[in-house]
Amino acid sequence: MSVCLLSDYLRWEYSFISYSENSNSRCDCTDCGSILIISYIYILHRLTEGSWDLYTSFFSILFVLSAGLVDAGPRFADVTVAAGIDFVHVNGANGQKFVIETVGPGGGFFDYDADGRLDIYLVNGAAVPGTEYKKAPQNALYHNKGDGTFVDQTASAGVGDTGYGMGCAVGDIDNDGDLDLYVTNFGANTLYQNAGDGTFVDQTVRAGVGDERWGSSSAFADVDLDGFVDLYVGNYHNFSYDNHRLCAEGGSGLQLYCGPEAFDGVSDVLYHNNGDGTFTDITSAAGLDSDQGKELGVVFGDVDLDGDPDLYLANDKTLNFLYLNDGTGRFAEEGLLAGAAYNEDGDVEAGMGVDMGDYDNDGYVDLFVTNFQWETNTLYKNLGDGSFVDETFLAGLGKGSIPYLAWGTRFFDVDNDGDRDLFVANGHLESDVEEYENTTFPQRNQLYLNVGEGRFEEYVPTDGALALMRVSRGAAFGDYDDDGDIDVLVANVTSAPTLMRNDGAEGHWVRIALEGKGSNRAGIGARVEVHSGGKVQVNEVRSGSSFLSQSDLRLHFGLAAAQVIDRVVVHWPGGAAEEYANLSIDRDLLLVQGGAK
Amino acid sequence: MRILLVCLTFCACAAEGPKEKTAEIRPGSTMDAELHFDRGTALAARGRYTEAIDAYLKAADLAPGYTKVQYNLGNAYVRQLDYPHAIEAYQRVLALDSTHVSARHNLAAMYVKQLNYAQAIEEHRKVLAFDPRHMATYYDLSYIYFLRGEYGEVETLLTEGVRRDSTDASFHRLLGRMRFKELAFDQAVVALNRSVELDSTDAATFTDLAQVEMKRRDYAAAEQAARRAVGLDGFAKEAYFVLSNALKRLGRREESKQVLERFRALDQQLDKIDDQLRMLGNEPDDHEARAQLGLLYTQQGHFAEAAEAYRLASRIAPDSLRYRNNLGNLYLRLGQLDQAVAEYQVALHLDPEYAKGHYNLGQAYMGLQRFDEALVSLGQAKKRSPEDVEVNYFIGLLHARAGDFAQAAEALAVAVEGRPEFFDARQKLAVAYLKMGKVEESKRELAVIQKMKEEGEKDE
Repeated sequence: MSVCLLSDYLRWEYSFISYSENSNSRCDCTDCGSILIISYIYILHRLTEGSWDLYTSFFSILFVLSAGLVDAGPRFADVTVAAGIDFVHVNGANGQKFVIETVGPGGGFFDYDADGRLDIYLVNGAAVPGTEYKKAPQNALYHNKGDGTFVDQTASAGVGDTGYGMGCAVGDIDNDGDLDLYVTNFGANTLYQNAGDGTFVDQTVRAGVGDERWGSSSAFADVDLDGFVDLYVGNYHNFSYDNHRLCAEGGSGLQLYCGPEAFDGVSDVLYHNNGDGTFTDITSAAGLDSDQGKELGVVFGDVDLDGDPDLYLANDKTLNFLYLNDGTGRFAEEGLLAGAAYNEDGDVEAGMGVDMGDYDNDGYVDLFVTNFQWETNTLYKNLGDGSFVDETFLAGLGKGSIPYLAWGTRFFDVDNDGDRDLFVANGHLESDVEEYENTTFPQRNQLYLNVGEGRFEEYVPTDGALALMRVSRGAAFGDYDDDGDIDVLVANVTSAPTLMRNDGAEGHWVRIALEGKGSNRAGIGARVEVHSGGKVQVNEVRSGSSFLSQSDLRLHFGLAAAQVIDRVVVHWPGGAAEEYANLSIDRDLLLVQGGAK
Repeated sequence: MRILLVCLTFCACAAEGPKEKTAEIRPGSTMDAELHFDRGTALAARGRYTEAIDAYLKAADLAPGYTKVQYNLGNAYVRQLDYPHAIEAYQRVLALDSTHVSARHNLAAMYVKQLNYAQAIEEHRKVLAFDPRHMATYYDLSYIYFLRGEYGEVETLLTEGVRRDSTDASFHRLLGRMRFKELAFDQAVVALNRSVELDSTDAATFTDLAQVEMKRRDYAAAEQAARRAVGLDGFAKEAYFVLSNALKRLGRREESKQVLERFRALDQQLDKIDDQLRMLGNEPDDHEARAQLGLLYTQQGHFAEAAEAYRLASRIAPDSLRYRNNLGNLYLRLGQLDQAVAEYQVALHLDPEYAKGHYNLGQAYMGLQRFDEALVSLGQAKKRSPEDVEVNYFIGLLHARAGDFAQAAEALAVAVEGRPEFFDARQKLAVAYLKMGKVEESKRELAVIQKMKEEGEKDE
């Protein structure tokens, strides 16, 4: 009999641990390339007078030239100044490096005066201790005049919030047909109720939605399908001027903004819309009262196709959350089990912006999260069985994203070819990053073109708005000039935003506005299927998403060469599906609940 | 992923260290500085980094020009995860001797810890300029470029690394990982298999193989590789993550969920370790926080780091019974049995009635094969806890070893009574009965054992 040492039998002291229609026909130039080439051949024939050698030589040269002239890629023009947008973001920075300075801002496209044209809202920072402004910086509302230009209507509309602004979201809280506006701040948030006459009334106090913590992204959704949109507000963490501190950079000794690890997470908040202009905080009852996340990105969507809005949260250096809705407005966190919490290596990432979209046209909305520099952005493909798989590298979104610090994002069809491309707004946190790292504070934004088969390729133009280097944060999407393609509004830190006019989309399109009758009036959460050209595209009306930003609530679908829309099916939140057939293209459609024949 | 290499070999003597600048040593203090240095190195060798740092600081005070002191000081700070101080120490080395390749290499590794890749690359490039044969730098520099997505640079460096040493498994592994990210899955498998051929004990390589198989949709192969990984390293959280995903795809959702829980627990422990380290950065004298850190390290299987945390906690709060006890247990885990005995004795000095202390001291004596003292200690434990199953079990074993089968049977019977399913105790009881000539009693125990075996097989 031998004596053995069984160290597993050691007795430990654990006790002290306390783990604790209006048709908008646009220049139809789908065949412009062919027209150009025919023109070249004609000119060439005249010049060479039939000499075959000269003919072929010239043809080669001109073919190369024509390839340059007929650039197949998307083209964006920076029209910010020309459009009359003179807003300049301020963050109050005076060298003390309060972390709030580098997180915002966001902005949005929404039609506040219901004239059919997208207006622009821009969120501003404010003074921090030690900084003074002669006039308090304020948010700005620009009215779309319909001729490609905007005019500042902040004062007359009454939406010039002077809080330390972060982002915004819109929804029709009172189902009166106009869009209301919610602004998140470092400090009390603000709810502007649209009076329907081009003005807003600050209803924050009456509505009871003035959460005073550090609000980040927010979104409206009818979580309990009662016909009124509720409001979700993401809170980043518990930074305050009292617990402010700096974090030293190892090599240079520079004092930097502290990362999220330096602060504690705080709970987000879900406000239930009582239908009478007031809201009730139901965060806990809804199963959402976790303080484990550090939310920056918020997006609602029906990931499991059970007819209710689920919630996905991008968290900064903590695992992302996927809350599945049981149909009554109660949520259960399933991100870990579903495979949407970590990246493929089992690492948490610094989640910033977020979007849902069906990039592979399989009928299920997928997830995309933007992350920090030296991380990839992450694409979670929805397998349709309640689970997700990280397909970032397979989709071609991995390597190219590593050098950038990414924020606002969206799946959208930039070229109207019938699939969803992807835009990512980039910019570093630290203005002096170049002193200790070979990157830059301003960075180039990125556009990934969907090339089919579940893959993207980055489109890198040498000029135009896509080639600009800015310190970008929020990004909003919408066709502000009504020419049938989606434009982009990018909010930049301590500078003007970039209004990027899309001048390159060539395919056909349709833009669908919804009006709920029984369901919430703005149709937020409605799922729309467009059957056209042999393919089916789906999208949902979505408030919020991206990063701190609001995109057009109308749904835009690129139709490529299709000449007719075979069917449109609308799944109304809390209501039945309705179907429309044989619809024409290149137009706006207004679909009213109950209006299908 | 293999962690970046940090050359933490502590210089033991001046002859092995880089050239010293003795001119800066204060007259008359050379001997003292050397003594402090030697003491620091001896302490570091035993994992007592806090005390080693104290000794090195004293040596540095007396002889600021000793590069070996600053170098070892930097290494000790690294062991304590105190990267800012480590960086300062390595910078002091390089100010004294800019050709000190090891210090520069470690400095680069510290920059990586702080995500400062640009400076890390700069330092690594300087290392290769000084010493093109510095193999660790080929790997580390490749890894930084890999993190930055600059795969062309990775390819160049790894090719050079393999040319210089084709037997280094880590080169092949990183190449495999890069091929995986490049979606060249077949090539990834070739490189990773080569890595396994060279080193079949690296859990991370099997985790990478599992990831590749996941992308190739061969979930059974992914499961197999991930299981190899967790078999090699029970704390490899990434391996559990991939294993969970493989099981999910194979339709074994419950198993997947269980594995995922293990992954999550490990990940949370790592989070807590990070939190604890940050907290200690602000409040270094918080002994409770240090002890919690020690426990977290223990749960992660990082016993040396755990011991260091408890050691420091004990230093701040020398009268804590539980710190001493847990530190003793860690010494035992690390095979440092004499130190374990010393800690348990301090605990028992603080509280002679501490039954756990007597029991653990008995364990330590057993490890040292000081069986008589072990029996005395376990006897003390039994006096305070007569029905304790393990105490009686080990007393039984010790009596049996001494040929006293009657006393062995008596103690083992208590153990079996306290825990009837205690297979080993029952087996040894049967042997003891047999030795005593109590054949019927022995048969009875063997029959119970047989029944237990059958039931176990049935359950399986």
